[in-house]
Amino acid sequence: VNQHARNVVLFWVPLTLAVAFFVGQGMAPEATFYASFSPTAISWIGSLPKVVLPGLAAVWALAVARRFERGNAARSGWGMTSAGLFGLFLGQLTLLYFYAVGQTDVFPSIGDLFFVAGCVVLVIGLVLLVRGYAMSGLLSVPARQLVGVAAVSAVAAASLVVPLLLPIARATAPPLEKALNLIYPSLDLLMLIPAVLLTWIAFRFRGGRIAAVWTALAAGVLFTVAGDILWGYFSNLDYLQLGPLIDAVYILAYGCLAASLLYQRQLIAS
Amino acid sequence: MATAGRRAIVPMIERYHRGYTPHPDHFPRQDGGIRVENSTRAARRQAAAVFAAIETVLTPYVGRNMASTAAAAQCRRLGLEGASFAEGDIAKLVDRLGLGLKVFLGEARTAEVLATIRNAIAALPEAP
Repeated sequence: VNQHARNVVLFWVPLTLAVAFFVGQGMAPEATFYASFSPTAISWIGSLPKVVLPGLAAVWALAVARRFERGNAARSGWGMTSAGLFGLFLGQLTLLYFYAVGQTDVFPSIGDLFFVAGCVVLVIGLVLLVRGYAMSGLLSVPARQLVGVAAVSAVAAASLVVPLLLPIARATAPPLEKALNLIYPSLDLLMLIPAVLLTWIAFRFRGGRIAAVWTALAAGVLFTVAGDILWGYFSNLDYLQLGPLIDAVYILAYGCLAASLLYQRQLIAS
Repeated sequence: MATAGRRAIVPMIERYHRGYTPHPDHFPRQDGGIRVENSTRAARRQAAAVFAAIETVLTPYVGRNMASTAAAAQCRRLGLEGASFAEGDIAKLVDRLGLGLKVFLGEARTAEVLATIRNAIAALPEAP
């Protein structure tokens, strides 16, 4: 109970406040409350959680990986997840640096290299985790059922390719910018497949502490996908009103990823 | 005689606390002592009681649904059937559950969970 209360007070309450701040700004940007903040202050409120949360998640994932003995399938999965989260952290840190030096509209940048590499490694980490759990022997399900769930989620992801990517492909933008705006949602759709499998695994563990880890991880991935899709539209189609909502979604995504690692860390601590 | 017995039991207690799987005939009592069974007659436990003990320990970690199906699934894999299990078969079952749990909980936490399961099962009455 103490651990749960500490998680709520130190983690979930600050995260909810940060998310609520930007959801409120997205819904009522002219509200008096937001007029009391300078644009610089709002930018810092949005930037800091986006740097701190993936950084925390990367460190916690590394600590979790090191707690698993060599040869344990989860060790490599969590290790790769840590590397992927570290890539996202470096990407956000780069954006923060550009903002701190007064360059507010830098896209593409070196940060995108970190984001793309981070996403690729994160997908590999998630696949390794799913593979490890499927082979653990604890999940009493036939392999073909796992493959079936993966196939259905792949078809669902593929069905989103045209409606999501076509408007971005048709928009006028410099080639590198357009390429990145296509790469991000494509990687996200790829990430959807292990995320769906993780959700399915979490459902089988419902009611237990393991389920909390996987539910938070899958939610983190799903919100990251949502954030990248919104960013693609925002960047290429100039939907300026989506700005605060994108901040809220990314903070929630990184918060859920960090929460999953927090829970896993607490779970394996003997 | 008593000294020789102590020499045999104390290392076994130490190995047990390090996650060592005791011989099927050497099961820990709930009070922490070791009961050495007569190896010519392996004790048996009611299968339903063994499942219930495993489910109780595993539920906080894997949820009630997975806790109730995991032990039954491992029994099928090991070919364990009947209304009661021999202690050797129970040891195999618990070890098998540990192999799966390690991927989710890590070695240290799994050793704790398995020790709790073994204690819970050792506290069960023997099947007639």
